Amino acid sequence: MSHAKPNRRQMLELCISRGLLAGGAAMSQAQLLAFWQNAEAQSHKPTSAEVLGPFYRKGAPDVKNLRAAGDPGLPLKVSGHVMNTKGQLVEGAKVDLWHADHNGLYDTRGYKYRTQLKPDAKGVYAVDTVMPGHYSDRPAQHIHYLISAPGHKTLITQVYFATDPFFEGNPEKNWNKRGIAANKELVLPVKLFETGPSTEVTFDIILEKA
Amino acid sequence: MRKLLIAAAALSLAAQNSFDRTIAADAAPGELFFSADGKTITALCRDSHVRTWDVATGKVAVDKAVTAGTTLVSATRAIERADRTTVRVWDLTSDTQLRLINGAPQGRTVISANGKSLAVASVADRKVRIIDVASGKEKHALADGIGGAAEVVFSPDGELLVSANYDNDVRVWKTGSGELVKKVEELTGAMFAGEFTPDGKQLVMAGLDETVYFWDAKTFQPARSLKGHGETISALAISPDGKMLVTGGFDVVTTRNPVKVALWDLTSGKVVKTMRSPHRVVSLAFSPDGKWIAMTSGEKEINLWKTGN
Repeated sequence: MSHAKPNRRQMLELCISRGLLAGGAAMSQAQLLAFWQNAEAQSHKPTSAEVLGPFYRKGAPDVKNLRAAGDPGLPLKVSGHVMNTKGQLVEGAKVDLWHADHNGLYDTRGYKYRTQLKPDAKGVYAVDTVMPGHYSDRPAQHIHYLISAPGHKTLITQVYFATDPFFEGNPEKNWNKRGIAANKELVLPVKLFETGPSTEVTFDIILEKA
Repeated sequence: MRKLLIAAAALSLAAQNSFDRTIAADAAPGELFFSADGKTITALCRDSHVRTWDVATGKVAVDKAVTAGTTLVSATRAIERADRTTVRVWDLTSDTQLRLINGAPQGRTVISANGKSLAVASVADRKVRIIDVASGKEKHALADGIGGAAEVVFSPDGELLVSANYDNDVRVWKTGSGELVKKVEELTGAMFAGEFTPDGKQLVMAGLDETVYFWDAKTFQPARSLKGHGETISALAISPDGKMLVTGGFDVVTTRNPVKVALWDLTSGKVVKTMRSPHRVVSLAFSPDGKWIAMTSGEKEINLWKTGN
């Protein structure tokens, strides 16, 4: 037997009717529905901002594979959605991302490990690159982001890696060691694959309305 | 291994020997300034002391403890941070507090050549504030780029203010009206250092992309660009007669140490002498007679070279 998947509103109504969702005392079913829809709309907090840093270069090409054959460094796939605070797809977004090479050096002459991606029709961006290296000014591995979209505030941020020795195996405790990350959410869990070997992270970006 | 160590020692010795003079400091000096008569050098040191050295003897003549977050803006003025929004303007010559200014947020701070205006590029709200020193009042709060200011420069006559942003753009405002007169948008790297030529006719900036750019200071159209340093540039200075330029390299993420210090003849546009700095160049200055270049690079010393002029 097959049946249509309920939409979000139908799902909420179903939960309310079965007493699975509750609000304040003496709310009508309609009030309760509005309350939960509102709560859900607020549930996507905008991604935390960080500084741009000195090494941003305008004009990076839209390149989905930044890793050339034979590049040293651990292969890394980075992907995610660009959404608004209601969890909806953001149209026309541009995702600039750039990072140091495996030795912690930035390309200041060209656009190696620099790209400006346009998310696909589902709001997904993805890039193949390598795990950035360490350098003494910023002792944790990181990727810089600059994300813009019509009608939204431009977001400048950075992501870090939970596997980085900098976090001493405990990013839960050490995420803000030496003031490194603005928010714990910016330290990403890393999927490790033995084949290759390679790594993968997911970073969803939530933009605020302008 | 031993051979390698000896080679490394020889290399570091050669780099040291390339300085014509060195003045020792108790803590690493940052931004440095020659006095108008060239007899002293003043710098803010990493231990939050402003020190003045007698160039002839290398001895400390004045030592003043300041708060953390203080900026040295000239040989005679320090902007001491009192709290998050308040600064004290010090005259270092007489060691007197000239003014307490409220409404000066944290961020890159510079002073006009006549000492009458401060510009503060706020990190928090990305605005560059022009503050009248005599009254302590804010004249303008100018909207800067999203990346924050990498360098802020007044024109020699104080009529123009330039902010080079980490988002790669350079903005130029009239300080009187606050009008944005130019936004340079074609750069693809931040400008980390800048100065106007002493005659005020050109703005000179350099940074991430290793190139020294010159703009006409009336139209802000590109006038000239010089390649040849070959490293990201972190500091520059122009000689008082406008004929020489010195550029200093940036290290850590872009190259390996030591970095270069290049002396340019601006008539030919060629590098005439290359020196070495053990680390990223923090600050460069010509002596008023143009005979010396002084440099700081995070070491506990000030290094000096003869320009040969």
